[in-house]
Amino acid sequence: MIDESQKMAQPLSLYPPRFRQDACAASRFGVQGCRACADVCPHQALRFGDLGPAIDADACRRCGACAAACPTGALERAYLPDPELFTDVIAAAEQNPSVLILSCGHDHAFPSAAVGPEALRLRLPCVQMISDDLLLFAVARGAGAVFIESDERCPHWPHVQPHRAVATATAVLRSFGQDGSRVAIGSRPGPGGLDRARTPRAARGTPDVAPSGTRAERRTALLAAMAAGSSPRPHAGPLEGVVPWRHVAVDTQACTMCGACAFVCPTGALGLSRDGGSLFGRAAACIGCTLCAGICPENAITLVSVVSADAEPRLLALAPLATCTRCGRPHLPEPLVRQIEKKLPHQDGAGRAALRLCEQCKGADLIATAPTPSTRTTDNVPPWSRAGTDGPSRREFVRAAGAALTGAIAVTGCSSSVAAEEPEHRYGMVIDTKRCVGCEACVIACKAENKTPPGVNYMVVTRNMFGERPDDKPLFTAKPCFHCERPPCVDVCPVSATFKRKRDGIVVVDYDRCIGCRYCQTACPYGARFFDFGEDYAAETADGPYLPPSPEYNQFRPRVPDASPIANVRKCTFCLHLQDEHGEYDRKAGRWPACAKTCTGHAIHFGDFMDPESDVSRLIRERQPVRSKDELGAQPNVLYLL
Amino acid sequence: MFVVGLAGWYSRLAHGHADAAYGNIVVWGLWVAAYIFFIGLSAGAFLISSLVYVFGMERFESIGRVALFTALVTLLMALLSIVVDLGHMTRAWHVMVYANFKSPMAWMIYLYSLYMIILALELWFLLRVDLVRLAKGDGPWSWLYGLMTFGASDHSPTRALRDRRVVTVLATIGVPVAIMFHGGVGALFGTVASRPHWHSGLFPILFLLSALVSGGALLAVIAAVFQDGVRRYRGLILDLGRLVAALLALDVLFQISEYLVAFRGGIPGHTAGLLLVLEGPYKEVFWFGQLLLGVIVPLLVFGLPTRKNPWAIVVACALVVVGIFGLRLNIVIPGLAVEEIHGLAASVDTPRITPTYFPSLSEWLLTIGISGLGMLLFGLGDALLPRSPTETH
Repeated sequence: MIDESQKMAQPLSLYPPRFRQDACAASRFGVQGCRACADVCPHQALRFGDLGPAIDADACRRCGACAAACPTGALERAYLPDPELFTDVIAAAEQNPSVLILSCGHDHAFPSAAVGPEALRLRLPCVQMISDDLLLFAVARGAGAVFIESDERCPHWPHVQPHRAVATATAVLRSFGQDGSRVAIGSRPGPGGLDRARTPRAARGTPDVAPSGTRAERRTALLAAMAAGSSPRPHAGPLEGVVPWRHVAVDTQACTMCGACAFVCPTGALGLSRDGGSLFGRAAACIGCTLCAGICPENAITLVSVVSADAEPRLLALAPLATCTRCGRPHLPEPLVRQIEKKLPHQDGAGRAALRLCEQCKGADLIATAPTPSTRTTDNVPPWSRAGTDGPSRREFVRAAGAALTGAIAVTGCSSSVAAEEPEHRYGMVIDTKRCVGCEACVIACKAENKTPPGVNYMVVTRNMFGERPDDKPLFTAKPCFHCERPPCVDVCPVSATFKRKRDGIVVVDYDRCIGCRYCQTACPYGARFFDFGEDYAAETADGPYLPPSPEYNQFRPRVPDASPIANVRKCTFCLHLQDEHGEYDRKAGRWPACAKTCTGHAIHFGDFMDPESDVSRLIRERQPVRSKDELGAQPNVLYLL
Repeated sequence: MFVVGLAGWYSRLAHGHADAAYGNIVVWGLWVAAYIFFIGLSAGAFLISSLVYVFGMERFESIGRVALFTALVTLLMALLSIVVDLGHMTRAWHVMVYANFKSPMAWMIYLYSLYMIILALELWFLLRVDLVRLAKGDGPWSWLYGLMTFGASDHSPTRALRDRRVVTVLATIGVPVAIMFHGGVGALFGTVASRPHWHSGLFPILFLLSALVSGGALLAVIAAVFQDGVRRYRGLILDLGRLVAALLALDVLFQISEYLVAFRGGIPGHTAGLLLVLEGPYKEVFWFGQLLLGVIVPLLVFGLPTRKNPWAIVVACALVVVGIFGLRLNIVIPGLAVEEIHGLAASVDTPRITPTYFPSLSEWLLTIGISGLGMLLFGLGDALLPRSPTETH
């Protein structure tokens, strides 16, 4: 029975493979990981940048090797995608041929060697699109053996990907106690291959396993089905250099439970418990990308070549939690605190002690000890606010400048009276939620910069979980004021105390005019406004309570009961007090909104939408940003990348 | 009660808003609810007085003065409630100077300022002749009446007739103003698109209806206790009871419509606030306060043979007023108690950023104090206001 059907001999696609950056395991946070696609590409069409592979569409010949090699399914062929390919190959395998021959079906097809009566030949657009799990599925669903016809005259030579697929499939079959030579590759079905094919084929042990879902799910299901009949054993030799079948081993002595590995893992094969005290691994989900080993600061991770069908989370490392020395709440894993202490041998007593405080207590301290305008030295006073003299007179100057600014603000409020005010900037942000690690450095930086009292948080980071699977990661959303193009808060203010500055689009509050009715708070759809209840963090100094004035609007108002900004509504100003006299920010000089300046993951991009070369303009051109609650028509100037 | 309220005033003036329990998610609390409650009473009482002075319904003639007096006192209570809620009470005049004609709140303030002037003038013209007469008498308070006449000295029947015409004109202007300003209070909430619980075209109408219900009910209570009214105005109180019952039924119908549309539409943001009311932390206020005390019991009283007993009607009307206060609470607070950004409260650990709210002691004391002040004013009015025309003739 020979099937010479040309059913699959379609021309290769016009389009190169599609690439999904969020699934790619090539590089994250500066750590280089998986290179499977580049290793197998016969045309050197893949280049690696910060965001993973970039396909050179001119060099690419659409053979599909990279998509077959990609362990996460981040690359997808534009033609004959995996679900269809698997359906066709499995349909052929279910005819129970002694040998299923997968050969080239392109125009330049080579004369086929004669095969025996029990063999079945299936022509594929290219043999480069064959992956290890395709071979294993063919075997599992009834093919006695699978043979790949590989010929060096192929325009897509060398056939690295099919050779790797065969090597991996052989190793996996062997580790399950089956005959590894049931999959083979060569220029023609050699005597050995066909001989074996004529031997009675193994019983179809796993007829029901279906190739559904993502690549990782497909593999997990296959392994579970294969493991049902036999116990897999670790396999060292032949798996070396073959990417997808490995697992993580952790040196529990060296591990500090920092969680970097779990954070960087693209498939959820590693996970940290919510309290941070235990590290889990799911062997079947590991694709061996090595990102975890690369990012581990203690070099505690080694990757072991292994075939494991274990999809359950298993404990890899466990650590006790250190409790906050002030409030007693558990906050960080003890080994992590110790390691930081070890790395900071010259840190003074207070700094060391701060390591053992939880975020809340540390935040309170940070605010209390931040420098005030009066204690700043000329070295760290930025030039745009330097006023020649030190001491009280400088402070008076600042206050006078603040008063002048307030006057200016009051004038700009009456839009008709200011004709010269033309829009020069449209400041805004693009926040990349994929880059946000939820560290809340922005929250603390904002507190330290604006000296906001408790309950007034211009920047918050919300954490939302979608789904309960172990590899589901929370969506962290850093949320400042969105400085909407059509701000609903401005329209409702009964005294026009809040308004959008024409010049740069920043929504501000005139503290001297605001009556504190809080109507704007109800109107803001994004919870970006906060009433100052006049409360303060409990920070005592020798001279009494420490109440740092806020530099907002360069006004440095002292915190006096019942005096503004107490009992006013306050909000994020994009740190406009850091603008120079021309209303310009300067990132290099540090005059940049505190949250964007501090963001550890470079998730918060700040800039001017009117400047086409700014980061934010570039990001909204090149990516697909979304606006929160767009249906309300407020048109936020802070956009998110999901 | 007024004395108890002094403690609340001390707390507000000495500690600002620090003693209040509302925060940055539930930004408005008991004081705002009390404000819309009192102002609703005022608008309702005024509109019912207009039955007499605009539409000439003689039947209600005898409570016209009490109705206007009630409208004035409850308006003062409302203004006190909202002024303490401002962050900077001393800047309330900013609204008149720095106008923002886009703000529903600004419009509401302009309209009730106008309303207050009309109301005070109307009451004064209504009472002037009697005041002059009393000032010329030899009672212990004649000097006070003399002050209130502002120099008028004519108390002839022609003057009374002309005054009455002025009252009619003022009341005719007052009716649309009262409708606009209380509808404006409803619009203040209804136009806030970011709060689905409020953002409904029914809101201004619901506010007006609830105002009429509560104003009418309060008038029935006051007509009974004020200047020994229950004996004199028996028929009138029964009439008022029927009016309140009809308005209450209409109010309930509108609310049912509001709930049905929200739940059949099923948009989570829209139903979230209503669910807080029906099964969340505010369910007691709804099921017990609004529904049982405020609707079911009064409707039973209005429907059963008890409808012939003026005291039963008065009790039912008092319950209606209580129920409307529950309604006001359940408009303001659940509308705000839904986080606008999911996870906002969880992201910051502070009592000021939380969707739960229960008024603090200081808030309660101040509101009780304002109620006490209102009762004090009613007491003074009871003793000093010229008796209504039926008695003087």
